[in-house]
Amino acid sequence: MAVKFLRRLPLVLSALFLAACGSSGYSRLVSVNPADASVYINGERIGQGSSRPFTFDFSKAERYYVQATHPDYQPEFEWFDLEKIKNMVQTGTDVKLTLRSR
Amino acid sequence: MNRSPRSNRLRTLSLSALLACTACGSIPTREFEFDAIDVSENARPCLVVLNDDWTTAAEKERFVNLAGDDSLVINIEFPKGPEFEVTMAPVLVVDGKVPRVPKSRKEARDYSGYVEEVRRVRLTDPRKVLCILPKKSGS
Repeated sequence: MAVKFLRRLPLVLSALFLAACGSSGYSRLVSVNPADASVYINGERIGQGSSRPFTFDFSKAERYYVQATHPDYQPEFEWFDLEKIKNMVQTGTDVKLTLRSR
Repeated sequence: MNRSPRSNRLRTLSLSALLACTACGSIPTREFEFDAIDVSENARPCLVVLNDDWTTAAEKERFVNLAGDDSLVINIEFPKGPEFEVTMAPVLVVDGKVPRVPKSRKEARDYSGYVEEVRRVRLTDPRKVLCILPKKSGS
């Protein structure tokens, strides 16, 4: 029995490792309109060069400040705390920021 | 030095009380990094004003992006609660200096042609505080 388990141990460890590396339950799709606007989350430019919309893991801080900016539009921002993200996960809502033209 | 068990207990109790007092009396402090850009993502010179204290901000020269693209790190105390208010007040820079340091949000707007941002920041918020300032309408 023990030998059988030891043989399978690398497989079990790999599965655990992959599960740990995978996205958390607080990942949400982030999109912005217009699509070429820049997005900053907690002061860091996010998703540069990546396809839009992109997925972001909201499980690593208590609050997230999401900002979007474009030269031809008014900048937009929104706060997201853990409770808001939990509600969004439950209702399947994604993060969407729409900028108003200047 | 021989101490009685009672004396040892008292000594331990006193030390514990002292530690507890120190812990209770200390003001929570946290380091934040402030930066500002405009809507085109260029560095924007600003005065960083904490809790609407424009005098201290000017005295301590809490400017950001005066000589190019930089940021300002401030160690902030939270004596009254877990939040503080930051006003990122845009300033006009001439030859690397600020000819008129604003004393209010209106002055900052009028002198610079940009709109300030006011934000409430919590003790547990991320370290970096970035503000994106749009141009004043008509500028």
